[in-house]
Amino acid sequence: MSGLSFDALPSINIPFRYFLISPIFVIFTALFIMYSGPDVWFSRWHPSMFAITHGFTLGFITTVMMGALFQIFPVACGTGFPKVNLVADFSFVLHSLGTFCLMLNFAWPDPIIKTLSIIFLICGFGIYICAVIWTLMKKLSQGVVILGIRLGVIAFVIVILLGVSLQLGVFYGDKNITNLHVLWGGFGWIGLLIMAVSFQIIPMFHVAPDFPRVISKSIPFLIIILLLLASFLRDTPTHLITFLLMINSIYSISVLYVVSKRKRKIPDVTIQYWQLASIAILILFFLFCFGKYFLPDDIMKKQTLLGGAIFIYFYLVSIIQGMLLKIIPFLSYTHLQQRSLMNFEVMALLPNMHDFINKKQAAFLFKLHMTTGVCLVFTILYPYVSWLFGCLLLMEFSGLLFLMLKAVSLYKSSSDKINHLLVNPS
Amino acid sequence: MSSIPDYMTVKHRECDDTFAEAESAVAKNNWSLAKEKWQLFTTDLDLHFEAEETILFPQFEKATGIIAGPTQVMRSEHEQMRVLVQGLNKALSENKKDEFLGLSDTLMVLMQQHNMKEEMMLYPMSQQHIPMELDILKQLKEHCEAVLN
Repeated sequence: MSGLSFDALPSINIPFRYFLISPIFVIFTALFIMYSGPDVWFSRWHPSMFAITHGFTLGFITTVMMGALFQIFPVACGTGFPKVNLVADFSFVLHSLGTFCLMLNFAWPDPIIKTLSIIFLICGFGIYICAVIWTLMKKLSQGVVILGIRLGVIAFVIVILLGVSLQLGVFYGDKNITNLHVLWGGFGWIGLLIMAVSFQIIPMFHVAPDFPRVISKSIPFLIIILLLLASFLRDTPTHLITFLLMINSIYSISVLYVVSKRKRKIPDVTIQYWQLASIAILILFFLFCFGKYFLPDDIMKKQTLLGGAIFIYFYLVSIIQGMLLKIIPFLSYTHLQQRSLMNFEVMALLPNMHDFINKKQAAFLFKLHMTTGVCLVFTILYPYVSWLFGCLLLMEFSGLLFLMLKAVSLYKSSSDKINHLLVNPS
Repeated sequence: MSSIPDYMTVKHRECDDTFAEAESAVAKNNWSLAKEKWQLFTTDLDLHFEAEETILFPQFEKATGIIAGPTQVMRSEHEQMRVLVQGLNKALSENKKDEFLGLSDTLMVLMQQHNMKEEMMLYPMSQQHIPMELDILKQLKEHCEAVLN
């Protein structure tokens, strides 16, 4: 009977602390974009561009995914992190400080800040990854979610090793290693984790059919094989990237298919985020393969920067933002609900899902996200509009933070009322 | 559907389907269709809960000796869902779309988490521990399909 645990959920403040800090990194990034002007946008190798990309990938996306895993493990695997509070406290503080120092060092290089960023990130990731590996070593189900998480975590370790090596100057000037760091991060760590989670949550929350087994079983393996091939071949060949985009496009088509077959046909902004992300990957694949035949040279010169922006902003950030708008009300409700078992006076105090995040405000955020994304594309083509992109980005992520804080505030007030009622039953 | 997990999981999906049809009809302001589908859903849901509470859970408790454990949590979640269904019945009878959709999203979350716990742990354990000769599956089928017969 061991292992039958219905209360393995971590305290809600653990995922929430990661979620709440994540938009703050993008807010810093937006302010930096406004401050640094158009020069940054002429090359992906501009040091300030590293600060901007890490604001999104490490500050926003990785932070949210790290927080989400604390919650996903107990729900999908029936088992949580060991010493969860200790792991969360240390890894969160070290990760946040490390990310901040890393961005600061990219923007204004300083040897002390650089050393601090390396120490904080190595320690923060080290604690976190040890806890994840310890959990994954347990006898868990062999479903597609766990498979995707396992492969994603392997990719995460490789991304960190490559990133730290680059920071330490082990591969000084080797742009191929930077490219591998990007590929393992984008397609491996974040891409695989998003896929794994989607295989579970899209059918579940939207009453949609399961993903075809061939997709959910084979795509994560294919991605890892392609990434390994890219790692062992010198000078990352273009056709491997084409294959990676093709595999992701097949996954995106399956997302669009599953979503179109959903039975819950109600207005839901999360669905729009999934659709936007899937279409973005298809456009990216098309541009990467055929752009040279019809796009002017001026645009083709910026192909890599443009491709990276579409991948990070329209694909990864869209999905993460959409998931946040779903997962925050879900977690808030679930944690309050767990405390009201059999107590109907308490249950009457529970807000409903829509009370946590207002549907209309979420829909507005989606429109703002689209507008900001279009402005990002324009900024890459015409860098003098970077200030506008910075402003829109600031508005979007301040809006996201506002929505999250409102949800947390409602959670807190409901929780206080429940506590009061449990201590003083009427 | 030769096992408890298979059969009960299919029943969960059937409930999800009629629930989604009712909800989609409300979203389109098609109240007559919504009421028709909602009636089907609540009937299925009641039969499913009853089958678990009167047949499956007592046999699980007898076979495993665990009384104050998962079945108790499942029973209390059933009660929570019943309360939400009452709220949804009221919103539906008064044609209050926003209220219905807010509550239905909440019920969906509760249902899916509840189903996952049952499908991942309780049903497989029931299949494993409840003696075959009791033919629980047949009893569950007879109860859940009472209306059809």
